[in-house]
Amino acid sequence: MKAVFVVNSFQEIIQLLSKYWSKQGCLILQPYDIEVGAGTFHPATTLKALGKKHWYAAYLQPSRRPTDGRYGDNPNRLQHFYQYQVILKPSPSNIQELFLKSLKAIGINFKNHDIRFVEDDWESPTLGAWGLGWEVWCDGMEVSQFTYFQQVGGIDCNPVPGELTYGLERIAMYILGIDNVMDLPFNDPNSLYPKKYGDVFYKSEREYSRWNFDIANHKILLNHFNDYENECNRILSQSDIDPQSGNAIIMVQPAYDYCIKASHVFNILDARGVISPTERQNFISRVRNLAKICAEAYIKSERN
Amino acid sequence: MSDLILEFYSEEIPSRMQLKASRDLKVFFIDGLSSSGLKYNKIETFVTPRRLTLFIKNLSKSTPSYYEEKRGPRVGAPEKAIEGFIKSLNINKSSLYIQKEKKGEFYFYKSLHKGHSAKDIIIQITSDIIDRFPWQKSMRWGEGNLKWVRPLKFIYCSLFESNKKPQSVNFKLNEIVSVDYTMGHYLISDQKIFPKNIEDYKNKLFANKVILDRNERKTIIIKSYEDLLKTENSKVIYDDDLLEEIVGLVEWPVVLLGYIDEGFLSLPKEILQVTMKEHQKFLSVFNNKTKLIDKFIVVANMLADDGGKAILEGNSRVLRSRLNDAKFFFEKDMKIIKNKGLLSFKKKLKNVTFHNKIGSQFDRINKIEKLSSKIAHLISADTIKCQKAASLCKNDLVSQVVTEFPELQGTVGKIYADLDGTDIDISNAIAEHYLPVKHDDKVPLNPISVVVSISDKINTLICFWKIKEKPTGSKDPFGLRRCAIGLIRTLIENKLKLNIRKLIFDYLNIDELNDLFIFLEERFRVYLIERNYDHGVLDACLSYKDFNDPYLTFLKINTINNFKKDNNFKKLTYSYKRAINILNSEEKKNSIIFSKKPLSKLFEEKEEEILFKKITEVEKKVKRSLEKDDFYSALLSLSTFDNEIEKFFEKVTINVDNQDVKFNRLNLCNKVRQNMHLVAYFSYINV
Repeated sequence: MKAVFVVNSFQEIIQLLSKYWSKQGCLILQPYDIEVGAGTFHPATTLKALGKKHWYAAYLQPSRRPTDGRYGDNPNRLQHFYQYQVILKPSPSNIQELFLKSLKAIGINFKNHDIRFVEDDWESPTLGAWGLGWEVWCDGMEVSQFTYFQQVGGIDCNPVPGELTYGLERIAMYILGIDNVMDLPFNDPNSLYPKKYGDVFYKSEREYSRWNFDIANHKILLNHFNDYENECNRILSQSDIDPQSGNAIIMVQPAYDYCIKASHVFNILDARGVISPTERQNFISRVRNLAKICAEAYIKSERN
Repeated sequence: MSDLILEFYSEEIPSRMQLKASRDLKVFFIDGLSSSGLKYNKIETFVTPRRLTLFIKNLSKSTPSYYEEKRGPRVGAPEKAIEGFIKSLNINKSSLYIQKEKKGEFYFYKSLHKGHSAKDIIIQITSDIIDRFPWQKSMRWGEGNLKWVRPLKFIYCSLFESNKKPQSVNFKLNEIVSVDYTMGHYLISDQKIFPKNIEDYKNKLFANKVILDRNERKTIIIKSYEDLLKTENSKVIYDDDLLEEIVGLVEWPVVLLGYIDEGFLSLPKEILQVTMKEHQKFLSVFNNKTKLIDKFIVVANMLADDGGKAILEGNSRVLRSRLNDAKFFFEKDMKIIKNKGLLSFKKKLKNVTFHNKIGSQFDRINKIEKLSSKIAHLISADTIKCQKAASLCKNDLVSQVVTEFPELQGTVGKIYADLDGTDIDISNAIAEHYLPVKHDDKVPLNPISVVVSISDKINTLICFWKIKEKPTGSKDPFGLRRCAIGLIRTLIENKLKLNIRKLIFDYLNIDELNDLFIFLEERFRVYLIERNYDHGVLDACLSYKDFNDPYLTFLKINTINNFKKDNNFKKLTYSYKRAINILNSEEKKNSIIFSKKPLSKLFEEKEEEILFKKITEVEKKVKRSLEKDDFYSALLSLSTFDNEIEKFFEKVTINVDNQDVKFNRLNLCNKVRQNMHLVAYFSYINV
C-alpha cells in the first residue's frame, strides 16, 4: 500500500500538525515570546492546566536547553529546537486515537509501523509539576511524550489535561529518512531557494554553544536571576485591587513571565558550569516557589 | 454453577507493574469470595499491556440462606422481658415459638439470613478493587475522580452457564460502566468481541490478535527467534529481565531479525548489548562462528501490512544512530588511553564532584585506596593488587562512554583496563566492586573485588555520616541503605570476619560512629527478617550493643537458630528462666540490680556451693569458646547446669530473714544470668 501523499519538508510537518489539531477543535496559538526550556512552559499549558475551565490548544514552541548544545556537530542534539505542543483539557477518552491519527496526518501510517506506549512519567521540578504517561515509540524511535497532568505548581489538576509533545526535528528526520538534523530539508526541496535545517540553524547553534558554555557573564546572569525572582514576588504581593480602576486585577501572567525568565537564566548558568550540585537544588526550589505562587494566584484570579 | 470473566480494559499499563497487578487481582478475589462464603472451583488471572483479566470457574449462584435460632426469656418471665426481646428483634409476639430445654421452657425466634447473589458479591469485590487496588502509582484523567494506573476505559463482566446466553453483570462505579463486550488488539482490530464462554473469549481474542497469557507470549517469542536463527549459526543471549519486560509491551508479539552494520562490530560487546537493551529493548544475537554480537532481535506489537519491512528499517536506523554515538565516544576514549594511558583518567577525577561537601572523585579514590590496603592486610588479601584495583576503580566515570551510558560504569572500566593489559583480578575488581547493584544481585566473590567493594561502601558511609546526610523516611538520595545492605551481604556471603567498628573508629567521632552502627544494625535486621529469621533470636543477639562484625553476629544468630531445635536448648532455657524469674521480681521489689560477686563465706547450703562451682567452671568454658567464635560450644556449656539449678531451687530458700544471705543467693542467680548474657539475651526468644 502506498502512502497517499508525500511529506517532504520540516515546515510541512508543522503545518500538517496545526491543520490536524485545528480540525479537532484546538485553538492554534503562536509560540510564547519568552525563552523557555519546553513547550510546557507556555502559559497556554502551565496556567491553563489549572482551574476548572475547558481548554484545547496546540502550538509550536521554540525551546532552549543550553546544556544540550554541541556546536551543531552532533547529528541529534541541539540547544535550540522545536516542540509541537497539544493540550487537551479535560483529556478526552479517545485521546490516544486522536494522537495516532495525528501521526497518520503527518505521513506515518501506523498499519505499517510499530507504535508503542512505553512507561515514562514526567516531572518538572522547576514547575512543581508532574504527570503519568508514556513516551511514544515509532519503530523504536521516541516521537512524542504523552502525559496526563496531575499537578502543576503543586496544585492538583482537576479536570486533568492530556499533554502531547512532539519532538519535531526527530519526527521529521524519521519521516524524511535523514540521519543528521542539519540535513533536514526545511522547506520544499523543489522550491526556488531550497534550504536545509543547517542553513537556518547551524551557525546559531555554534554561536550559542560558545556563549552558553564559555562566555555568558555569570555575574550579570546571577543578578538577573535574583532580580527576576524579586520582581515575580513583588508583582504578586500587590493588592488584588487595582487602585486606578477599582477592579480586582491579579497580575498572574506578568509574574509568571518572570518565573520563566528566572528558569531560563538558571539553565544558562547551569550550562556555564558555575552551579554546584547542592546549589543546583537550591536554584530549582527557588524557581519552583515562583511557579507555585503563580499557580496559586492563577486559581485565585480565575475564581474572581 | 457458572463461569465468570472480568476484564479491566485500560490504556497501556507499565510493563514492570503487570505481573504484580495480576497477582493482586487474584488475591482480591480469593479474599473477597472467601469472606462472602461464595463457592468456586478455580481462579485465574492474566495481564496484557491493555487488560487485566480474571476467570472464575464453577462459581455458585449465590451464598446459601440460613436460619439463626435466638433464645429469648423463659416462659412465664415478666412481660417486660418478653417485650424487650420482641423489640430488640423488631418482630411480633406471634412469630415466637416455645421450646423445651433442660432448664425449662423458653421463647425462641428463628431469623432468616438471606444469601447474596454471585452478581452482588462480584460487584462488591470489583468496587473494592476500583477503590483500593494497590498500583505502585495511579492517576486521574478527564473529569472523573477515579484512580487507576492509566485511564480505565471499560470493565467487561459476564457470567456464563453452559447452553445459556451470557449474562452480563451490570454496574456503574464512578464514571466506569460495565459492558458486555471486549476489544481485540486496538491497533489491528476495531471490532467489538462478544465471547460465549471462557474458551471462546481466549479464541476470539487470539483471532483479534491478542495472546492473553504472558507466558504464552514469552514462549512464542523464544520459539520465533529460535526459528529465525536456525540457519544463522547464532544464538540469542538469553536475558530473562528483558524478555519479561517485552512481554509486557506487546499483545501480539512479532519477532524480527535485524543485522548490525559491520562498522559497529568492533565495539565491545557489553557496549553493543547495553545500547540495544536499555534504549531499544532489543535482544542481542551472538554469532557462534565469529564470536561477535552481529544481529539483534526486535519484538514488535504489530502485524504490519508490509510484513514488518518498515518496522525493521526504522529500528535499524534508530540503532545506527545510537551506535554511531557509542562508537564516537568509544573511539575518543581509546585515543586518550593510547596517547596518555589509563592513569590519565584519574587526574580528571579531580574535576568531578562526588559531593560538594565531601570533595572530588579523586579524593574519594584516595580514601578507597587507603581503606583497601588496610582491609587487604586484615583479611590477608593481596595488598598491592587491591590497592591498584582501588586506584583504577572509578576511572571510567570520566570516560565519554560512561558519561553517555551511566549504567555501564564499571563494565567500561574493566573493558578499558583489559585493553590496557591490566591484570585480570584487578580488571574484574573494577567491574565487580559496584555489586550488588540491584536487590537480588550477586555480591562480589573474588578477594580483590571484595576488598575494593567493601572499601568503597565503607568509605561512602563514613563520608555521608560525617556530613550528616543520612537517609530519612522514604528519602535516600545517595542510596545509602543499598550501600549498607551491600556491605553487610558481601561480608556475610563471603563468610568474612571483619570488625568494621574498629575499622571505622578512626574516621568518625563517637556520636557519629554510634549513629552509623544503629543504622547498620537496622539494615542487618531487615536483611535477616526478609530471610524469615525469628525476630526473637535477632533481638536476643542484637540488643547486645556490640554489633561490630556482621558475619560474626550472623554466625551467632544462625547457631542459636539451629540450637533452638536441639534438646539441650530446653535445659538452657530452663536454667535461664528459673534464675531470671526470681531476679526480676526481687529486683523490682528491692529496687536494686543484683550484680555483685557471690561470697562463699555467706553460703549456708552445699547446693549453693555446688552451683557456684559449676558456674565458675561454665564461665571459663564459655569465654574460651567465645574467643574462638565457637558459639555452638558456648551454648552447649550453658545447657549443662540445669541439674545444679534445679537442686538449688529445691533445697535453698531464697527469701530468708538474713538479708546478706538472701542477697548473696540472688547474686548467685545473677551469675547464671550473666553467663547466659555472655552469648545473648535469651529472654527475647519465645520458647
